[in-house]
Amino acid sequence: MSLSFFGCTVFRRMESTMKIAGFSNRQIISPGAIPFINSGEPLIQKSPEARRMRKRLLERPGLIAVKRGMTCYFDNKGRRIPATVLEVDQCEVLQNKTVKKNGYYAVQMGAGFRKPENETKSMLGHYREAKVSPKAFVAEFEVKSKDGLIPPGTEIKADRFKVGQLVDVISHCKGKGFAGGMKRWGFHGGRATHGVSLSHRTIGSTGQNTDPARVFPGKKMPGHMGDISHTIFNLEVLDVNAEKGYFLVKGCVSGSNGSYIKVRDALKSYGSHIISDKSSSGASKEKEN
Amino acid sequence: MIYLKTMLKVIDNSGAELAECIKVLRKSPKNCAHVGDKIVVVVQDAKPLTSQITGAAAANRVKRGDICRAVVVRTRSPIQRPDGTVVKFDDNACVLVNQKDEPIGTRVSSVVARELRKKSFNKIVSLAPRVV
Amino acid sequence: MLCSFSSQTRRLLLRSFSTSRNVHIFEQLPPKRSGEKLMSYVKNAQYQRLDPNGSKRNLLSAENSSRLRADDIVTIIYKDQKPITGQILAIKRQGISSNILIRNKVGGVGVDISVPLFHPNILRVDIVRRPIKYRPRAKHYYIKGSRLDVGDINKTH
Repeated sequence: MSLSFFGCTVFRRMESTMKIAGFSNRQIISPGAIPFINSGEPLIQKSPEARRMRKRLLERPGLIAVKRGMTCYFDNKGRRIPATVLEVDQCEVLQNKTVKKNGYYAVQMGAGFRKPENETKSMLGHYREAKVSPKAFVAEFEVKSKDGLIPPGTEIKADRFKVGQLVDVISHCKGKGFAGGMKRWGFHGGRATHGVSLSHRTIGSTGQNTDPARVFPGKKMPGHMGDISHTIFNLEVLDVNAEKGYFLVKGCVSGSNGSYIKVRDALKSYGSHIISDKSSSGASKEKEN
Repeated sequence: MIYLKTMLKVIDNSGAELAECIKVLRKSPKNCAHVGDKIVVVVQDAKPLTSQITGAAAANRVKRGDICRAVVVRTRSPIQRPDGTVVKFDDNACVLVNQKDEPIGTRVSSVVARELRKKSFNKIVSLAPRVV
Repeated sequence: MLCSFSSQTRRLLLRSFSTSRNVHIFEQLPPKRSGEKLMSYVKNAQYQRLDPNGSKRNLLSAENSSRLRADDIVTIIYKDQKPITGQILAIKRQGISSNILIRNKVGGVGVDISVPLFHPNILRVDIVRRPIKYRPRAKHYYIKGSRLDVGDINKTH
């Protein structure tokens, strides 16, 4: 028995289980039936694991440098390029973070030197574990897989970066204190004349009247400006000198001279997602490690 | 920085002496023209027509009030070159051109910036007595 | 991608604090550049590369009595382009990015050119003429458009 339904032939479920002469003890399987696939555990979208899958990650960690100042650089084509001098000073690996233990792969590094008297005992123990001196600045770089991990105690040198490659520079920008709307957000302010009083540099209206009866979240207003982490993407590496422990990047870097900054390979150029890799079911493979 | 209402010297023999910019061509409304950019100008001051001038020069003569295209050849605002050199002229100047970017006049009377060569205004550069 | 790791054997220092028992602390890595500050090292390295015989540095040095000064007329000789002549208006001393501002009148039009002195394409700077008496101030911006302004230097020399 079959039904013609919009030009397709639909077998009823009952029929497939019916015994038909010549096909005794055998079930007729519906041609449209999908075999059962074990899809594994569902990935919860809000889990740290899923978050890691969504992230664009790099194959290898970057390094910690110190901003020392600016200079200019004359390249082979006779161009004068503004450059920032970044020092790689005592940058060593402290610890590796793994999926098994921490839920992600990362390399923790430290740079500079801090007097042991000024360091906590727990951190001194941490440094002893890696067999390195106490560090002034500690940061970690998330990497894609365990191939990017580096054994603790390894010194990272400036020749990690190649001349001509692009890097991202993550640093704390200079604090500007409590700033008004004109300085902080580039608002135009009010008029200077024409009867304006006491509101030459105000932000003006902050929204509508009765209808929302509130100011929407994220409204640009006066407040503390600067002193936040700031990333500058895709700076070109102009010169590298590993022996003397420095490298130059094109253009300027946020923050004051002497501040510690994180430098990594340019995420937008060299980073990729774990999921988009050709190795299928990357998630289940990671679990095994 | 040449924009609406900027007065420029005209340094060719088209007859115009002073021109006012009324439009910067093919740029966003907020941008201004630099050396090598094309603009539209109104001739504000021109030499009087005399019968002595004949030939091609006479046919290309412009009068006061004419609307022409022009190329900026000198600016007061500094021009930074890739090698770090910065060049600054004492005045803003232009050369009148036609729709095909060829100069209307047959002579250029004073110095022009080297940036014109990059923007392929080679005719103006070769006519100019000095290039800085 | 290139990268280099160094494995070194470190001396373990035993430090004792007044309030606690001994803590194991590892020694720092040996200092690079034998302890020289990085910016001064970079500056010297750039001078060595761009001005090996020190002639350009000498032109700017305060100790040199025949150094460049505002009011001097100079010619800058290039490797790849025609020399330019003008009177110095100002000198900016900024290490390797030092530049001199020179002014000239070309066909009646004043032209100011700021030249990065340590550019590798600049072979040398020749002093054409020095004034008998220097004008006051280190920066001569005030002569522009006044009766003290420069003339057409190419014609007179």
